[in-house]
Amino acid sequence: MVAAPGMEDPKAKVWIPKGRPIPFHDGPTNDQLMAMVMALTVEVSILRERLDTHERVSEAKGGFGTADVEAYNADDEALAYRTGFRNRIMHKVFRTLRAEMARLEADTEEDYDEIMKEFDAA
Amino acid sequence: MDAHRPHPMMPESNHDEIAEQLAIVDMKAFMFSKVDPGVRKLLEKKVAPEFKKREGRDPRNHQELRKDMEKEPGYQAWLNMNAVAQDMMWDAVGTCVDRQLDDLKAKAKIENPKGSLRVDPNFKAPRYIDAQDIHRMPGNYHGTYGDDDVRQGAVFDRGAVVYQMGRNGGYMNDIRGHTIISHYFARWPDAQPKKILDMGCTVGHSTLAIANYFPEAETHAIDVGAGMLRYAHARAERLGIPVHFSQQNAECTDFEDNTFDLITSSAVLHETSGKALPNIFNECLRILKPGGAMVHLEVPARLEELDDWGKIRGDYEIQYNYEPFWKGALTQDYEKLCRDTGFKDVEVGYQDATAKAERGNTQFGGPSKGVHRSWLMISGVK
Repeated sequence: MVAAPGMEDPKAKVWIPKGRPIPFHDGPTNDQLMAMVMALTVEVSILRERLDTHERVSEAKGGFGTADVEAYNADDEALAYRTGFRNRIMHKVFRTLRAEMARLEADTEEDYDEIMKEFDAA
Repeated sequence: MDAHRPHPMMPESNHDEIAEQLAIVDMKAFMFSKVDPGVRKLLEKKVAPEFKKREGRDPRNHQELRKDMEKEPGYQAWLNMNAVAQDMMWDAVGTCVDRQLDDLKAKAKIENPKGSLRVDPNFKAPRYIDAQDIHRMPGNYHGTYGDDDVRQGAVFDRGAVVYQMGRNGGYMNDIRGHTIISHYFARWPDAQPKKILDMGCTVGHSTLAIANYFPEAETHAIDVGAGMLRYAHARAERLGIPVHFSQQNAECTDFEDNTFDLITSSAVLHETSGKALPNIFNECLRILKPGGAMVHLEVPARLEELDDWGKIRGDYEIQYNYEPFWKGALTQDYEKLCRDTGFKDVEVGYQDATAKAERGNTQFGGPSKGVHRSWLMISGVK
């Protein structure tokens, strides 16, 4: 069984860069949640990639071990497929940001103004 | 990218480490191609118009707009995500290196080297490098952890290759080195330098490409970190390319006057300082032979060509990507500095990026084709 990186040494330190920290504009919670989400995205990518490899190898050999997974090299088609599902994850996880950008692009204010005026007046 | 190491010193990555590194590369690409344009729109469609409406005038500079942007959650999120993605990249590469560091140190012990390594236990890195970890790389260029250490070299080698996504020559990461010689060959098609110096060599990405064009020449290379240089030396030796590495400050080396036919640097100058730059050019003049040339490669961006968003993005580079001289480098009048230093035949312009330099090429002097397709070249003769 191949250990995930960082598993071998429970005392391994976290390296941080020397320099001005990014200020927490809205308190640490939001910024740290964002960082956790980004890390989670990568973890999910890794998990998915390993599964992808299992599928391909299984299909090719009909029975395999860890050595087969370690020895596997993605060809151009597999690399393109993986970029595709990574993009999917990015789009899903950061959908809220994309929605915000889309709101800026869209001039829908006029559309709902009339309806909301009625609501506000009621 | 695959799991194979292209040179024996390159830290190897297993299946999951490659997945992690590629995921982070894609995340950074997503930030650049999808999120960045959105934050630009935030500036142009909301913040800038609101500024004008509120103040009754155009902003005097981009800083006024940036201060308003700093109140926007979208901009705050972008700042944070950029830094986090960068930190994740170094963490991924660093963890990968740390698990095999003993192995790398053993591989770095070279018997009967063709080149050499000279470190200076009393060396102090200049403040413009030491004050912050450049590019948020923990440990910076010069962090060294023991007399046999190679950690920062290994981290930088793999990190730079991963970050460039193959655009600078794959695992060898050396297109800039080829481009430097392409410029040299465009200006001096018959040059046969006997002694070459590469300044700010890090792990020798450009250095080895440069040295390889002149196998009869003696190539030297300097940088500020012992661990970085030890890795560079081992990398060069295992690739069979002799280079003499030494731990020095490019502002003030221990080389004799009139030593070198060619002095180069590859994306180094923008990581120095306004004070260091003239010192470095003066030093180049001193240690070049009469008739010798210096060829410096730099990032092809100029501040005056950037719009407000480009400048705000540049402020991120300075404040949070820990590149303090970014703005200075993009406003520097290199041509004037070269001439004031005493160089002749000074040229500053764009060279086409290339993986193979040809003597007498005509790939210098046109407009920039953008980063990785063109590089800014600064050259002159003593």
